Amino acid sequence: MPSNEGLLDRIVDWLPTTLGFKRVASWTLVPYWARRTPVKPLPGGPHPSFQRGDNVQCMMNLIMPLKIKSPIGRAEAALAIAQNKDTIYAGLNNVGTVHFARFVIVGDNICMFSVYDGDFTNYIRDFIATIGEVFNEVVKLVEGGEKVTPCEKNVEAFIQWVHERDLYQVPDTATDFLRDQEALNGDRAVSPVDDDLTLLPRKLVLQLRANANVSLGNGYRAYPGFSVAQVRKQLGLGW
Amino acid sequence: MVDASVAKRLVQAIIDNLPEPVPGRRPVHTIGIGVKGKFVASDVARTYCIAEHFNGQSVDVSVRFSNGLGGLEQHDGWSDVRGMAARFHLRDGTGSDLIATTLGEFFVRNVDDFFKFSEVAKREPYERRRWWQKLGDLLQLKVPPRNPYPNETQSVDAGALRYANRHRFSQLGIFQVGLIGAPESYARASYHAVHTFWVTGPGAVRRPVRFSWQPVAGVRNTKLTDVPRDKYLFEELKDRLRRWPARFMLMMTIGEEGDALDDPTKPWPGTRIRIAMGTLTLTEVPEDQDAAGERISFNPCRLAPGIEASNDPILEARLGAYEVSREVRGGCPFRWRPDDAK
Amino acid sequence: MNAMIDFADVQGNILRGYRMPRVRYLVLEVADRLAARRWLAASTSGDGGGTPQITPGHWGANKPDTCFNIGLTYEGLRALGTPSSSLAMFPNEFIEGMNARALKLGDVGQSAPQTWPAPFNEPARIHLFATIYATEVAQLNYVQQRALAGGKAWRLLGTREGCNFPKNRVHFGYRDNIMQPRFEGVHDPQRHADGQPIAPLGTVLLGHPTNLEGLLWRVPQPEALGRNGTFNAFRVLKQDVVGFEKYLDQAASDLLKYPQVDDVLPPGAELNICQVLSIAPPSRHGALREIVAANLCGRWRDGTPLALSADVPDPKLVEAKFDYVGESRCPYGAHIRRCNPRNGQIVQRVANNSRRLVRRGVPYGPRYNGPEPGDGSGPEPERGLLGNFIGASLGAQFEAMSCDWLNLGLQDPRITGSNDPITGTNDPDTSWFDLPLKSGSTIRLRGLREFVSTRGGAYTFLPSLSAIRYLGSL
Repeated sequence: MPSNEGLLDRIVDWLPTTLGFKRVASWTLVPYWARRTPVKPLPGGPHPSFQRGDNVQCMMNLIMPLKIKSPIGRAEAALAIAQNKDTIYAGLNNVGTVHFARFVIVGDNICMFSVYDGDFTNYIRDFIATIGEVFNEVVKLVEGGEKVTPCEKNVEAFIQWVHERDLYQVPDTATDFLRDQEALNGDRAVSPVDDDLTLLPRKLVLQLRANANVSLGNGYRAYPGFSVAQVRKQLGLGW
Repeated sequence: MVDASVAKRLVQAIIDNLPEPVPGRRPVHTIGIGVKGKFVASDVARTYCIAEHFNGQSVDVSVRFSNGLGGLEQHDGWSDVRGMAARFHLRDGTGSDLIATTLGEFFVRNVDDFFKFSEVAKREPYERRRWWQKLGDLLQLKVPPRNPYPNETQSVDAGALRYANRHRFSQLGIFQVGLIGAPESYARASYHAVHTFWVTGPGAVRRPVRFSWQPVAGVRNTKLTDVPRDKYLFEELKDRLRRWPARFMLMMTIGEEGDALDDPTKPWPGTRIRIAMGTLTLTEVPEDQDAAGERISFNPCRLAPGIEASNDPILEARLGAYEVSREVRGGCPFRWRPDDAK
Repeated sequence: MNAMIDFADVQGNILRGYRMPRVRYLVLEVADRLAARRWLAASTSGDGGGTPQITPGHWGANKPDTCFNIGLTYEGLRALGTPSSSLAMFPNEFIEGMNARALKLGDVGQSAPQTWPAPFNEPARIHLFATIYATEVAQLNYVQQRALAGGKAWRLLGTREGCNFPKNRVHFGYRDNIMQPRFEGVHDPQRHADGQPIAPLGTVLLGHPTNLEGLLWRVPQPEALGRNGTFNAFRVLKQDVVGFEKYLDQAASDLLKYPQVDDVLPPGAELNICQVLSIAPPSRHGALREIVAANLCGRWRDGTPLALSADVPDPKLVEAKFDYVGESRCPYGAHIRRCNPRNGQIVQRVANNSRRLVRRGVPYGPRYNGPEPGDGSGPEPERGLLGNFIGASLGAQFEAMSCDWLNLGLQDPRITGSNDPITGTNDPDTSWFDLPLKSGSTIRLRGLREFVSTRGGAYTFLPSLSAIRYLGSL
């Protein structure tokens, strides 16, 4: 009997590959399981680590929804950046810990993706000190931004606000993702435990419902382990 | 040092889990093919390791690709770990071995864990999951387990899953095994040596490292939905090497303070410094497969001066286990010094 | 905001050092909220009899015999019933507590909070640190007894006690407390002109302008609670004195075998060095030990800054001003240079002089006087430093310095990837430190181990006297 593939067997194998099933499952199964087995949103930014390789070339993926969701709103955001190009470059050159940074408008969001060295709060704070006015101009166009501007007078709140909009970095390995969920619930057991690995797909789906925007993995690096100043020094560019 | 009785028990545990005995052959990675090639180190390799094969001269290499499953039935297309065992031939007639598999991390931390695992993960009958059970899985947002391959009646997957559900350190290794699939070619897979080694550079500077082979042609796996073919990898490799050589880059990742040096279940993150140590070029599949593939006994602890094993308990255990297995099947003895018998 | 600072409102140990040899820290838990509040009110009431009085920044004509100050943790503020709207205005790192910030501070391995002894292993119960400064132990006992009299307000969880060594020495043999930041509007006659810019008051008190232009740290409201308060990182730092001295032996022996050892120590120079540092009989090995010790720290063990005199210690230069500009032979990775790069070139150029700290510390444990004959019998007594690192923003000053500068060495690409040689959690297999030579090249020392381990600590808020009265009147 096991080796005979019946009609029902074939249907059940074919079903999850169809678009229709995925859509229906999204409307019905996902909200149901989200209520039955709720999942907390995971914090954003690189995973805290003491090791030096993990503290250079850290990724920041900042997604900020604009208040005015239209081409006018996007144009305002674009101008806020373009008019402050000098300020931004001066800041980048003098803070000295940013490898790459770019502002991107995706849909009605102004996004900032950067690769930086060292601690996240130091990085943002040093930027508040040098290009705070640019932050103020951009953040006032973002939903919820008026609560934390002017950023120079609300340093701690601004840093927290940015951290909340920094995307969760889904670990490179599926099991580390499970560990992240467990750590959020205070569960640090290693062995013996009573897990069910077959629940991984559901846990992932529900997490992606709680954290709608995520970074997949903590990024690929061609020359990991080196800070900005080390690269500049090695290449003879002055730092 | 793992003592001889433990090593014998290890090998026995593996042999006991085979579908049928394989006298005179390796208990796992039984099916394999020997290949010859050359390795040339990069210009920086010698600044990290003084071992002879990293000095920049071209070195002869004997490689054996293999399928992980034990037993005499060849099922290239089944989801299975592949092995790439390489011996760098040094000038004085000795060798330095590097044994790597497509599985990047192991699923147990030490020998005791492995024995417990063998007790739990035994071969069990493997049947297609009933359609209503699969429907139940889908409604719970789970992915049903794969259908058995044609002629597949037994599997250790269920037992391994039970073990993984009880021990978090094993979850990554077992999870990866479940998804590993079958490569299109032995030359189109990445192989990882898993264990940490200590390399000594000039000035007696020691660094903990892990090695990986990255295929220059890129990784390519067969599609999970296609019907698996039983015997294609050997022909594919012979065919490929007739037309052009297959190349691999040897990447060496340097560990940091705080990394799990002696724990093979923990991979190192992508933020560690990676060194390109050199290129391996495979040129031909020798006619005499007995010499090139069977009568060559690799050992993960046969290392050139300049490379040492770490305190990884599994690596230590493999030293003994590989020796016992070689003796049991009458393979070639361990050769340390140039005057030893080959 | 720039009004003259009201010294009577600020706790005394923030802007000045008392220079009293004995210090005891009482770690207290709130036993009864109302009694604790009454105790706080009484401590600022001026009533001499019962509760010890908080020492303010200005004591009038006569210096008191003993001094008394307090610091509160977040859990302590909560236990006293501070309104949650005020609590929410305290900075994140303070709310989380030092135990939760271990990865940022480098408290891993032997220093990890999970290994801390009581009472630091139960951070939720640590509410108040009461610090007693005195000259005699009997005085410490007397004040402690008065502080805990009645037994209603507080439960004593533990104490830590230290005693100054003569001449400002600390364990590891260095002279400490040579330089502290000088502040605007604060005249302390014992300060020397140290060549560093005057620090704005906001470096160390909330509600005043900070060193980062235009930035102000959030002052928890109501104003009485937050203004003129500050934050402190209290740390119990165990020092492996025996291990440190052994390392100096090892490093000196290795250097003696180095072919260019004359570049490090010119022949004959050891006589001068050994004479100044009172090492008898003079030897090249002994002098090399001192050279290594000087390079790891940035000052010779007598206090001479390497930046001014790299070849020989000179007592006249101990309190001289110096900076790391130009030809400075102080190693980039030396401890004092990592903690305070002054005007030296660093990657984060805006951060020069922005992470300064007031340091108040006292050694604990018996002084080490060299290996005892016939040693190896009993375990070494615990020795170390009870350190207070005071700054208006824990995140911007103490944590920022610990994470990016001490532990990672991000401020200079020549040291990035190495940890502080003296305080870092170094692993002998992977640690390194570059010793500069006169010629400009360097020698790499390896095998540094963890000489300093954290055995406890907490983030505390040092409230102004108005704040203490406010808490007392909740």
